Amino acid sequence: MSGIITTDYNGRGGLQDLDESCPICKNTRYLTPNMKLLVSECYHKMCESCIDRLFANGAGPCPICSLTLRKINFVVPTFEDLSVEKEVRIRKRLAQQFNKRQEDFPSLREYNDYLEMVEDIVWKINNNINKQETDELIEKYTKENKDNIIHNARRQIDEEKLAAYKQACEKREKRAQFENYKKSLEQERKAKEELEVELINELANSKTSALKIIAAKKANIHKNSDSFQDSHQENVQIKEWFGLDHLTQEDTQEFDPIASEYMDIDHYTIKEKYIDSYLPAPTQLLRAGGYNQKFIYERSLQSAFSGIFDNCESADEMEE
Amino acid sequence: MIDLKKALDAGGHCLLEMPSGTGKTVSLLSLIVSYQMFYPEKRKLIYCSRTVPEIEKVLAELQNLMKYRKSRGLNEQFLGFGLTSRKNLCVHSEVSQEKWGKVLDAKCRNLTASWIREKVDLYPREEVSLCDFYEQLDKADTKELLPDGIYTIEELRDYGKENDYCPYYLSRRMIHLANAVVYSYHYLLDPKVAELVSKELSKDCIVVFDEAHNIDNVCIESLSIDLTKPNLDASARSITELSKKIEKIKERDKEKLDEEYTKLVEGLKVASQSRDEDIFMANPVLPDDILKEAVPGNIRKAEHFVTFMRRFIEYLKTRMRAQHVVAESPISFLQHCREVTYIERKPLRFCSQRLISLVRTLELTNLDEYYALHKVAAFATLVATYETGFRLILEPFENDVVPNPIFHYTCLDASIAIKPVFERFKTVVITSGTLSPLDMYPKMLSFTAAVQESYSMTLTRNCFLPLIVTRGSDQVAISSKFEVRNDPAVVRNFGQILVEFSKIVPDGIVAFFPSYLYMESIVSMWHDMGILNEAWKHKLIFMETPDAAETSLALMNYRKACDNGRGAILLSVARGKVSEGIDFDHNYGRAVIMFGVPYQYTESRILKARLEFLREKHKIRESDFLTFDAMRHAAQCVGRVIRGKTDYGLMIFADKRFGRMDKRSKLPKWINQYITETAINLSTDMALVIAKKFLRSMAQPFEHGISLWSLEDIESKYHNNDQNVAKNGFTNRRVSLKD
Repeated sequence: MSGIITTDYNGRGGLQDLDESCPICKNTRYLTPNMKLLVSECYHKMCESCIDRLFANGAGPCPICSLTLRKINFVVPTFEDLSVEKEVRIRKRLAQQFNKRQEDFPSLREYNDYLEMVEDIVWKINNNINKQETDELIEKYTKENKDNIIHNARRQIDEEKLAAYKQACEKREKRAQFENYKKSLEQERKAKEELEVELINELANSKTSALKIIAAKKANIHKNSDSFQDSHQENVQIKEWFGLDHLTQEDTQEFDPIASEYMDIDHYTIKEKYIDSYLPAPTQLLRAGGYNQKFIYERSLQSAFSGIFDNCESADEMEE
Repeated sequence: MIDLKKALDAGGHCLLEMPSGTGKTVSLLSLIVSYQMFYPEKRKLIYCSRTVPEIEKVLAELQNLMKYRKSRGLNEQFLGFGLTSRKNLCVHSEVSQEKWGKVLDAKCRNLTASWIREKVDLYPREEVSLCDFYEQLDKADTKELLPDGIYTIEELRDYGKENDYCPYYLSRRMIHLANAVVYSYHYLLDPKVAELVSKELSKDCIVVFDEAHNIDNVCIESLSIDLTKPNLDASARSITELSKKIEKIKERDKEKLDEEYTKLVEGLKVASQSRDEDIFMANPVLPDDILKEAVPGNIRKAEHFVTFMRRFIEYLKTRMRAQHVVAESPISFLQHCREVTYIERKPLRFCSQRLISLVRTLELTNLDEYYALHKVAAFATLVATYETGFRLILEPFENDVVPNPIFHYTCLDASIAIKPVFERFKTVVITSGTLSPLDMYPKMLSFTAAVQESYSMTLTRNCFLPLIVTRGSDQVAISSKFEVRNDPAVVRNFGQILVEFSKIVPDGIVAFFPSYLYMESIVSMWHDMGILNEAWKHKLIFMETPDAAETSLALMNYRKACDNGRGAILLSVARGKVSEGIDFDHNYGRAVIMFGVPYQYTESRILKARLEFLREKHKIRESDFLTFDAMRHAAQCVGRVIRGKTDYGLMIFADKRFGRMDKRSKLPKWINQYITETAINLSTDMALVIAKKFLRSMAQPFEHGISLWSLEDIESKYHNNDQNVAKNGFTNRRVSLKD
């Protein structure tokens, strides 16, 4: 499934415990780095050479617990702790029968109770408590839920397939993205190189002064470079423009765009709120920028009223 | 300041870049305090800084400010204090002797946990020791514990000693009454701590992150966990211990376990009922991501949970046996875990919660022994909770040689940890001396800033001079680029710069290198070339090391040498301790030399994963992020010299690459505006000429610049503006522009 993970169980010395020893021949890993410890059905560790020696003539008793063993039943342990190894193997067996899901239960509570029951069974098998009873329980359960078990097993396989498919898709997409990214980088680099070549050609062939050509090229490059720098410079420009405006007007007096032309208009009062579907609601961003609906209402009222109460003389003057 | 006010009014977040040493802290504080005082709802100020000395500095500033406000006739009730760990605050005669923070915490808990205090009530004859300071505090009425005022950490301790209150719990309890709280980032960002401390803060608090240029890294660290082999071994031991304890308690009083069991069946939250003092291990995931339902059935019983944890630890051990680097997503990790051990995702998610509950039921003391187990549980919970933005990396070898397997669970997305902060609080202010380019932070932390501004500096005189030295006197280009970094010509030219500048710069020089490794190799080469001997003639040389105690000794002697006129050079590292929290004001730093661009170690697997994530999610190019990161550290280092307007200093960028536009544009505006066209492509001797001239002019006695505006001026201006506003509505836009 997950192809990335390849745990090295055999261990080439390196990370494995050097003090580990075979309980039969007392050989340690320190002395024979290639020693392979396998585990029997009864969860006893033995080294490979001991197994070869003991079970060369077919089945024989385990030297520790004298259970009859065969060479073929020895496996490489996944876990360091053999009790965990045993437990996991029990789980593996049980998982084929006990594969109900949360969807199979009307409530979470019942699902949790079921989970606990399974856990109890594992616990009992693991510690050899009431062996017979548990076996009966399992059998009973298997009989009762035959259909469900098969159904769920099928579902499990389907789901795994789907997950694998999804993962593969994702991987493909990622790779494509990465390639695109690489391509764009490459393109950029090429464009830069071309520009450079062009510049040198121009410098070599044209008769205008070198400084001018370089300056022109530089300006060009700046335009072409990424948008971030562009926007940055724009900002600066706007500010400068504001600054200039400032100086010329402010030197003489406070600038007031209305005071000279119009009189104060106070024939209206501004209400706190108007029913209005036109103006956008003041979001955080707008308010921080100084936006306030009140000013807009005020201004529109002002412009409306200034037309009514403006005296004709000033209007005539303006026409002239 | 008007920008800050706008953001406060609008209730939005803001991002402000202010030059260092210009009174950033005090101006922020003064505005926020007046704002707090002016409005009746009294929004609370939460000021987050990085280190304990910085917290102290902020508190001192706050004290000054309140003194000033008092002298202006404002008599206000204002309570402010700092919050820090038990280690800095404990006044208990025995416990406070402990050197390790974790052990100290555990000892404190042994004296204050609720079940221990209950024991005293139950069996009065038995000898159970309690902390007197805590008992005293518990009896007192919360409202009258701490009079108004500003307390530095030292003062808080003194107050606790005088009145027999435990200062740690005192400060914890007073949070909701305080007007200003100063503490470290972690109290807000790290879910393990934030849950305890910052849960009750109201929504309209004003949160300030000072020195926040590293905030993304803090966010990432707060959700990342590293597991080592010793960690796993220790946790396996703790598990055996736990199962023994369970057996014992089963024999003695079974009711307790049963009680816990029924509670879990009912899906009651056990932890939430417990008091503040008892929560010693917190859930590592963000509050919003904790599943609020009953604990799954398969880890409900204590013994089942123990075997469950044992299985998980064994599984991790088998993974650690891998001989090559593995990088995978949490999903594929979980899948593999299920295949091998039949551990489902859901119970994993509840690991931390279940462990906390178990530890409570067993009434365990000496919790520092269970630290590793807690770490594994936290790891399990995190892995099972977050799918995207995380990556698991297993590195079996240290530096590709020494076998030391480490399982990194790294967060790649800085926005995950900080998201609740942005969502919860109306105004979050992020500020530092170096935040350029400004649009990077909103992208990385995924928030929208109502105001983002970079301020330039107006100086009465040009008190710092940035110089970009691109080649040595022999015209060989200098660079810390990997290909040429150990080239003798480059190393010699770096040395030349150091020697020449040590001749002309008075008092202290601070030199920064990109890494410890590079510093060591260069210094040894300098030694062979006789460059160090040459430099010794003019100044003493000190070095920063990864060891904190050694470094602080070197710093102390460096200061001494600067003070007595011998002059000194401090060689340090751009991401080290010196570059972050320590100021080199006045004679302690007349010049900073950056040897090379401080790029991160790009071969790091974690960095690679992060770059990939940034590229995919935020469309930030790898090279862009790397330069951004390098330049913010460079700016941070260089900014250490200017701490005020009477100060002056040279900033020397010694690398060819600093001269490029893309690097320079990423420096903060206040540095950038003083880089002149003539100073971007210098050789050593040219730089020396300019520097000499600069130093001579700066050494003249400094008359405090004429302040152009007196208080009356400001008031009359303000008055005028007021009138204008009254006259017509929209002049106020112009006023804001002028300011």
